[in-house]
Amino acid sequence: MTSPIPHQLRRLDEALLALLDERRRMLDELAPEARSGSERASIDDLLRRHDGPFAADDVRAVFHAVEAGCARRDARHGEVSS
Amino acid sequence: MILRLHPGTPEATVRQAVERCESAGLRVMRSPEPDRPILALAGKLEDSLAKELEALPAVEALQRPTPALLRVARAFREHPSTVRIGNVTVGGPEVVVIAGPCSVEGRDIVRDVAERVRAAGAHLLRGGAFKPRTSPYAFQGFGVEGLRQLKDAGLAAGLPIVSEIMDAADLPAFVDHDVDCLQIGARNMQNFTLLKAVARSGRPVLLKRGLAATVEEWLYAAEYLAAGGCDQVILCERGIRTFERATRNTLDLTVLPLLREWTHLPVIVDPAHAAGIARLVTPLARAAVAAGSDGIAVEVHERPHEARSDAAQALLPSELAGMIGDLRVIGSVLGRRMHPHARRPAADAALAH
Repeated sequence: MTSPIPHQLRRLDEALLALLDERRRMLDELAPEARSGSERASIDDLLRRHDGPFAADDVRAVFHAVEAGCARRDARHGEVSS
Repeated sequence: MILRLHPGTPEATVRQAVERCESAGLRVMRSPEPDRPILALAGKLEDSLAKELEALPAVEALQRPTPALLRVARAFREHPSTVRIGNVTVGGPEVVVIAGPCSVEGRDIVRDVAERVRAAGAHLLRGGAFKPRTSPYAFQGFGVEGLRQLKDAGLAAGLPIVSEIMDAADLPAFVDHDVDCLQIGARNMQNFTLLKAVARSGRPVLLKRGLAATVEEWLYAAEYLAAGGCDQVILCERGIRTFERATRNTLDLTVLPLLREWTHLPVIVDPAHAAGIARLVTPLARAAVAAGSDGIAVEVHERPHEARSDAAQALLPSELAGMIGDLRVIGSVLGRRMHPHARRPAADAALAH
């Protein structure tokens, strides 16, 4: 019997990606002025309370990468719209 | 019986099949989807005609759905159907939330609740103006005035409204007050006179499951609506009466995957009437979305203990917001997403400039 772990890992990766997509959709629903530094503060607060196996800076880097991806998408979207 | 023809079958061939069936005394109803002709055949189909139809090159299959449904049978549609209520679509990839007070209790109260549920992320405003109560001495609702207050609150918050109709004689009031979706309550699920009248209204219908109705009986009630010309039907599981008395009813989540096989209609879940206990509502709502519900209907009150009906099962607006956040997470990982957040009409106007 083959290990179920690769299959389950793939399912987890799909779920992580789906959640990131949903986060992106929620940002789209927020008016630009409502997108303030509060999101970053919220992530900092989340990481303070996080006691998983990852270092806070490593996880923060992931969130920053997601934010940067969102910003790049916004910029592309703005270019197309204007 | 359901007669499924191949996609792209010429219209003349479809018409020939229809005429052949009608000449044999069958009532023929055609699926509204353009991409594949599907016919529902009501009446006794003789074996000889069944063999004749099956032999036609244009026929892909002649199916006998179980149970013997026609217009609401899964086989009658190529795709699951969706129901449009104002600017909200029920069914499809998005999960919707219907929230509001059990009873409309006054203009200011319902306006406040409408604003709070919109802010929490609900998409439709519910509220009872005509209340079916077990005791004749309990609050029966404000009637037509309640509909007016609910509609005003919905318009102010930018939320389409859902309200229960109990008597066909009240239908003109529901139409006059532009109630966006008519709810048939559990106690009236098999009130066939009411079902026929509501079907003729042309409004979307939320059909709750009867307290002791089997799935088959529930779907036949939906079939009454469809046969009467209403193809905008949403089913709502709200718990059934069982031997268990620890909760008000027993939420039957079994129906969610089963109904996907039996019908094309969207299905939502009302965990509040099932549980009758507010603290159980969110866990049940989570389970419902995980099991495939197209939406959740809940009762919300700013001061639940003061609610004039169903006080024990009403959520606070803050609890509604938390529940919707949970549903978003669960839905996302299962390939669903929440319907976009409703905006106030004023906010929409500002965005347009």
